[in-house]
Amino acid sequence: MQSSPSPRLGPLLLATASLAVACGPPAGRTPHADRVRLLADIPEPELPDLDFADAVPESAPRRIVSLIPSCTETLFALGLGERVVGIDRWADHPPAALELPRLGDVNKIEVERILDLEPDLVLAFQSQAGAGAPELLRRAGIRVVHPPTEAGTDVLRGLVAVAEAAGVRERGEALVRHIEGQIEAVRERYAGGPRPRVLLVFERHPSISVATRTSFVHEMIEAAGAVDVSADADPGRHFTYVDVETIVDWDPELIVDLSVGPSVGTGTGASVDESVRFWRKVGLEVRLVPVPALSRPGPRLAASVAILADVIHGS
Amino acid sequence: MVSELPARETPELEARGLEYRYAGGGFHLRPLDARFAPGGFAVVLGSNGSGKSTLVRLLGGLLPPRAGEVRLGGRALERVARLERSRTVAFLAQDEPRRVPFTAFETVMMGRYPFQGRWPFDSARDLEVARAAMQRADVTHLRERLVPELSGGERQRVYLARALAQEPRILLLDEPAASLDLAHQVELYEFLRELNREEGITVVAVSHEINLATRYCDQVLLLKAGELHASGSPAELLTAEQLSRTFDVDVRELSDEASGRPVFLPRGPRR
Amino acid sequence: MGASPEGFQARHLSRAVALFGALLLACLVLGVAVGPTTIDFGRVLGGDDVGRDLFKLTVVRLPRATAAVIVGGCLALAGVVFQALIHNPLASPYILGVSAGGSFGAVCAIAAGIGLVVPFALVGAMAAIVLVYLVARTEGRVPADTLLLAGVIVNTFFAACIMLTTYLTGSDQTLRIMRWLVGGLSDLYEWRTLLFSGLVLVTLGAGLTLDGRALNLLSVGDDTAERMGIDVQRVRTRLFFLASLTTAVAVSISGPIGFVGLIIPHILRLLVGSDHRLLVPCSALAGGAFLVVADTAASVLWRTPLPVGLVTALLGGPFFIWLMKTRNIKRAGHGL
Repeated sequence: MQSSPSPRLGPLLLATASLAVACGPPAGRTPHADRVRLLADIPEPELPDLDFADAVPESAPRRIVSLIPSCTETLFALGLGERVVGIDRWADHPPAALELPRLGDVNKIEVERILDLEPDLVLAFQSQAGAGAPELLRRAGIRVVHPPTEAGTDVLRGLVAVAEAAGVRERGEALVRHIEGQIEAVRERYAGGPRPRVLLVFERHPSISVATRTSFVHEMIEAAGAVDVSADADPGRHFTYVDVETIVDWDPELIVDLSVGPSVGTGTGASVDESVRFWRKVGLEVRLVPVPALSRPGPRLAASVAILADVIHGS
Repeated sequence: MVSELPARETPELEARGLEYRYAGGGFHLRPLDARFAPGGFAVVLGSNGSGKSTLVRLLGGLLPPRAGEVRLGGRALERVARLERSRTVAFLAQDEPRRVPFTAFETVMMGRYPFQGRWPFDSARDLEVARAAMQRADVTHLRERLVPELSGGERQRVYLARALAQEPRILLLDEPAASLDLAHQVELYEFLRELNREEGITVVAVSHEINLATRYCDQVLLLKAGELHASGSPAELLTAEQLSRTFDVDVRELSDEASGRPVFLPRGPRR
Repeated sequence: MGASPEGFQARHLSRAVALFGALLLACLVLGVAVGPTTIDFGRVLGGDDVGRDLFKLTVVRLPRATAAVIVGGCLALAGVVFQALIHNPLASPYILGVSAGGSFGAVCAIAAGIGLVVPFALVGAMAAIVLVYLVARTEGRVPADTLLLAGVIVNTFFAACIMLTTYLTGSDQTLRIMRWLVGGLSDLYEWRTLLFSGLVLVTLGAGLTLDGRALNLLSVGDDTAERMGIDVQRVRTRLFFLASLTTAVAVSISGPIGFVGLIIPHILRLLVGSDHRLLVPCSALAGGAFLVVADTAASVLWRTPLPVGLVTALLGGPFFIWLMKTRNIKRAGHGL
């Protein structure tokens, strides 16, 4: 062993140090504690409260089972709340509905309990259209409708379809006009101003889920006066999984994370602490909004757009 | 054997140029010729690893020869249908399974398989043959007992009864006396001789023990290191010299005064 | 049920079949009578205002209970045969890859948005069967341990394919896929489907009973079977295909339900012994009885009906452990 360090060690140390500095921390920017903020006081969007002048026709269904959360909301928005006799497992709005019997979800429809309620209309997911349970209900003489309410479809058209099935098509059209009007109002409010580049995240487990151009979420973002960064992420699918590197490449000015808080059926809620730690490592500007309802299709769409716009522009 | 049926012919069993090699090299049975006359009682002698078990398995059609063939009654064994083979040749292994969840009776009945079709119920004839076989092998009193509960000797006899239930004309036994005590060993060979003499069943038994088996047989085959050293009558072949060479031990011949027959003792390592 | 010295006779078989058949019938009645809602049987039998209750009994519950009987029977039947062929107490329709193949076919259909999943599941299962056979065959022979190994490999392979497909589809189908994979009976069965699968079960069950002696010999060992004149390679291949076919039919109509094919044969060995002439038909009957009871339990145990695959797994696991601890798990043909 020589008494002094080898002459080659010095340059080696220098090279290693430079390499470390050049690579820097894995994220694109320097982590900053207050880039990630939890917005705890964002309100839940409310149902539009319309007074309908017309009376409900005699022939309209009187006992409705709604197995789709957004359809449940729609029925209440149409003023038919009293006619709803059963809801699905995951519905959480409006409060008036929550005491009703829970009769299934996208996985399992409880045929016998539905039969006991003697409904004259059942609303079920499109993806269940070929399954056994709806067919059984039909054979028992119950009308089963699968309104086009799933991701990628025109949400407002879906609303009208629900209204039609419930016998109040005109109310449905009025509701849609109202919603469109509200959304237009939001659009105009922010028309002249800056349009930040925004990424909306609605699930983080098992992977980060974002919406694409064909999803209604895309239009919500655009209506809220922002540019949807993930619009072209995966053509042909309504939403997709992305990894952190891709997000860093997109370099959005703002990330709105709706995945924190309680989940509703399809997602898994992520804890606030874990989310904060995660986004801090990424190093971008993030707002955690524990109101997953904001990304749901349904009659609260306009209210959601308004709230989102506040979040995006208010910060 | 209980049979009102005419005695069946015992075919000749013959090995021609029989050769075997275990996969992965190692042991090799060199081309071997042997004839087993109908109604004969042959004993195959040799040390462990000399190929005795391999030979008798080849004779039974349980191993496919690498070269050469086995002939049964003049026909190549491969050409004989499996079920017919099993009705003619019965094989008793050295280590029959111990932990089978069947009774002695059920085990013996399995020997009737070559005669039974798909119809699952046992015929009167099957029952009769099985009963007679069990009586012959002296295991009737064990018929309800489960095989794992039997002693080694009892189990051996049950499997022997099963072999007999096949109504074979040729009986191949791989070291049948290996796990038996002396009394049962003698009993076994007496029994085999009886079968052989009374019913003309050919017996080929493998043994690594020199004295007992050879008393009963009329043909001896000596195997060493996969090769047939010699084959002939006991009188010709059983000399101290031959046995020493076959077993690689120094064998001394003594004479049994009572019967006048030679008795062979291993005395020490071969010089 | 040792039958000496009279041997195995028709009356032994018919007695056992009658016993287990009666059990099966009783369980079937239970499965129709019990469900997530209560039915007023007084009203039904009395004949007045019967509409909805009768509908529940005959259209909602009866086809499904029948399907449970058929699927349970198929799985138990396959389990008995596999355990005899492979000499391993863990052998089951599940572990040999046939279930996974059927599931993969079903998952592909679901992912593509196709409603009618059954034919795809059947094709997937058949593909798995052929694959296992091809992988296991060496030099024209199909040794027992190679068969098990091939089954495990094919199982793993299809499981990976399923995961991949699941990951790549949009999440609207993911839930349907997950639901299928847990293994549960569908809500609605056409009588046509039930008739076809029931016929397959009865035919194969009868055929395999006739193979009972061969199964006995095979379960003792290849050597013993060869000596009695059985062409072990050919018979094992044929029996493997038949048992796999049975499994394929079951999986295609109900998804992969685990544990039935594993524990029913072990339990039945304790009850009727190891003679496959009895074990085969009784296992099929008992399997059907078991599954219909499990499905009924699954529909009333919790606030909402559960898939029966969950119940069989939750029951089956501890039960299997108990069997092991009391040293009742034996390799078919070997034990104590």
